[in-house]
Amino acid sequence: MELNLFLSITIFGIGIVIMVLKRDLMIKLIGLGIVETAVTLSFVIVSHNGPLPPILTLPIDRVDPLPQAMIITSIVVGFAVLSLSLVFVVYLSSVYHTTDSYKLQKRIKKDEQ
Amino acid sequence: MNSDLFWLNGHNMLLLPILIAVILGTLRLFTKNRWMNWIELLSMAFFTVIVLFFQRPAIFVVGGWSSAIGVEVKYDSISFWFIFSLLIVWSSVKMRFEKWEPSIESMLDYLFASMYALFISNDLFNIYVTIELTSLISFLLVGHGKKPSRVWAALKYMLLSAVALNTYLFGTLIVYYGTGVLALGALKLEKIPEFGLALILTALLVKSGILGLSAWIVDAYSKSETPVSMVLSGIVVNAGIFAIIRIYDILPSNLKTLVLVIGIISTFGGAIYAFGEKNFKRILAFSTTSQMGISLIVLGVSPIAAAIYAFFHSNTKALLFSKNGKISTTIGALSLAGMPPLAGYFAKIAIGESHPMVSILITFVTSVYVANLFGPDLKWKFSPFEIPLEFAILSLMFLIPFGGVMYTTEILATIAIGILVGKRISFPNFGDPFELEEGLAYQMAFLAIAALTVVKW
Amino acid sequence: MKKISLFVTITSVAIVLTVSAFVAIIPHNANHYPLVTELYDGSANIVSAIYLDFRFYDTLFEVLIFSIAITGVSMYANRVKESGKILAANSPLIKFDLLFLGMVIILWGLYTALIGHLQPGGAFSGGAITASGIVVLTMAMGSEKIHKGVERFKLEWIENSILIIIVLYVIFADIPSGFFFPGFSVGKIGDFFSGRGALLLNSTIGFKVFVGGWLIFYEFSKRKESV
Repeated sequence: MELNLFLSITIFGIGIVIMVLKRDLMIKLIGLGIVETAVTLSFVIVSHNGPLPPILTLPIDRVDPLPQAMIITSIVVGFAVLSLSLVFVVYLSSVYHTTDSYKLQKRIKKDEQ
Repeated sequence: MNSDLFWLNGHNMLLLPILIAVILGTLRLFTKNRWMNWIELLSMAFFTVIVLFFQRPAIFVVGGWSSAIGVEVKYDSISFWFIFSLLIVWSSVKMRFEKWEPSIESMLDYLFASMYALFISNDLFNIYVTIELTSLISFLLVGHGKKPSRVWAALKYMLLSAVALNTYLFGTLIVYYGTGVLALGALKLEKIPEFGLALILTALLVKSGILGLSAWIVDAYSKSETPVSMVLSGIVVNAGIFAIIRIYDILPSNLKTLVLVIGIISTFGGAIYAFGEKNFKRILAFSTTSQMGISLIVLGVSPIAAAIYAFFHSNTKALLFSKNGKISTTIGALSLAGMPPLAGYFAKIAIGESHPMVSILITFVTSVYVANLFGPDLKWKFSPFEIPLEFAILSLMFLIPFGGVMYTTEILATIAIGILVGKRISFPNFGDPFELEEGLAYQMAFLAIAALTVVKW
Repeated sequence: MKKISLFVTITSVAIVLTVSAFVAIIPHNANHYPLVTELYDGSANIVSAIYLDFRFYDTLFEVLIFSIAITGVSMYANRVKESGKILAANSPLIKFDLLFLGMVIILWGLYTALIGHLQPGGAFSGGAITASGIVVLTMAMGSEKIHKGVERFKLEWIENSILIIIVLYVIFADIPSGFFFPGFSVGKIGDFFSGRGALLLNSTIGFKVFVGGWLIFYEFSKRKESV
């Protein structure tokens, strides 16, 4: 596998380890952002067939346009997911007064008793 | 194309329910009247029934382009069963006329549009976009209501699902890198890099409700409101199974074996977890993981049997989640266990013909946890809006060509023994090892196993 | 339990990386689009031709995803109490600079959105740039004046009705052929009125993204100190 693609899989793995390792909810969201950035980076790597952008008025050494159209959709989807999870975190921390995920789970369990 | 009516030929007729659902969903936002629900119900039912009766199997590209540059769309008998199940469960939820605000009602219309588009899609990237739209709507539905703990269930669901779908996108990219096409019809003829297929399979198994991988199921089903649980278990859980059925033909044989193994583990593991639970909704949540495992086992026999099994399961689960009194729960519970005149018996015939011992064992474990559903707070109600669901379940008994009657006495005896065992013996509760970090760990562990399977053998 | 899951995650990620280092993928450099774009679509930017013309079916669902995100943010943010506001800039020099900068950014964003078929740009990037111009204007004029704009222009109503225009384009753009066939004219490459429906679609979707970004900023900035 190409070196650049392997590095983007590494960044994907780092993002997932951050989501599991850290306790604070906001840092988990940053980890999710890193995962999505790794996917976007891999799209850019795959579409690199030549040095020029995909505009028809330029000569023939253009990059592949299809992964770039897929990036546009995946960025919008990632934006929607991140904004919704941010609103959820704001709501939860206004009710339970913490953003630490362990304390949050304990308080929720106590709430249900 | 002799059934043309003006320009309503086969291609446009197939795409029409999506556009009608989007228009109705947008118009629904502007009014609070509940008679608007009638307009939505009747028009969606009308157009979808036209498609289900008159549409012949077709593969075409939306917009008339070639399949290398456009989005490919396919309608066949598997799509028929899934769209039929979608229409029945969606209509039952709409017919309840809940006191929801207009934005939630319009989201149900968008959910119909996106699930319908998923069930006719034949393109890897289109499957991603429609599953994302479905997931976003279900996140918002899970958190709706007054209890704050629902929002934590919705957040957990959101994070796990986002990681899974990013894995799917990575897998699609590697498949595109190796072959240059995204449409599933053209992919059957190419040599596909199998690492990408391992990534795609992991992501779809997370969305489809298998025991360890879908750590979001237990909390999301048990904590949300009743009609939202009906929507989640009757509509959304079919998304992952449909996508796995679509890509099953292009998987290499060792990944197919892995799907069968994980199906068996999820069937019996989910049932064992369900033995120890006492809460009505948590039993049904673990039961969903068990039944999805059975769907994967049936998929190994034939894809159309898996489609029929998914139809039966989503209707039964929606009926059970609606908590409508003793009659509905009895019919649903016996159908889930597989009693002969009801649908569950005919749905299990596909495995019953080739491996009868497996089917008897599955019936036994299902009956044991089904006995626990009858708690002290069920009344003898009978509400009118559950009639379509019960009709659908009872109507599957006309599928006699699929095998007919066999092993009837064994199955009845097994169900009776199972219910007795479930009522008398009480099992210990196994706790709840399905929080956020564990869910991510299971996903990554399965990805590692799938990657090793692809490389070694 | 958490330590076990952490250990399992790190081990699995290491295994996946090791496996992926030894997988050999032969790249297939695909090149389907340039000829088809020149003949049937006519816009100079091939990526814009893909997501507005050839694969417009996906873009329709993407716009739906965006609307649902906005609706969800409004619905859940209404449960949190409002508190805190952004004050206007103190000194007149900074206020003038920020106002000027904000206006330039908004105009630049509208320009990027409109000529998405000739240059890299398009609806989504243009809408995002314009929404960030609103943020700069809020720093200049204070949050109360900008928030009055949300109620006065009825932004939520506008944002929901733009979807109808897109669905009408899908249905009626090319009636003899059916749904999702592109309408308008191909035109010469590099012309402003080329690229089939790109001009109409870029302006509507760009406006929708702009209004949506403004609404999200509005909801979050009303609750600056609610956490």
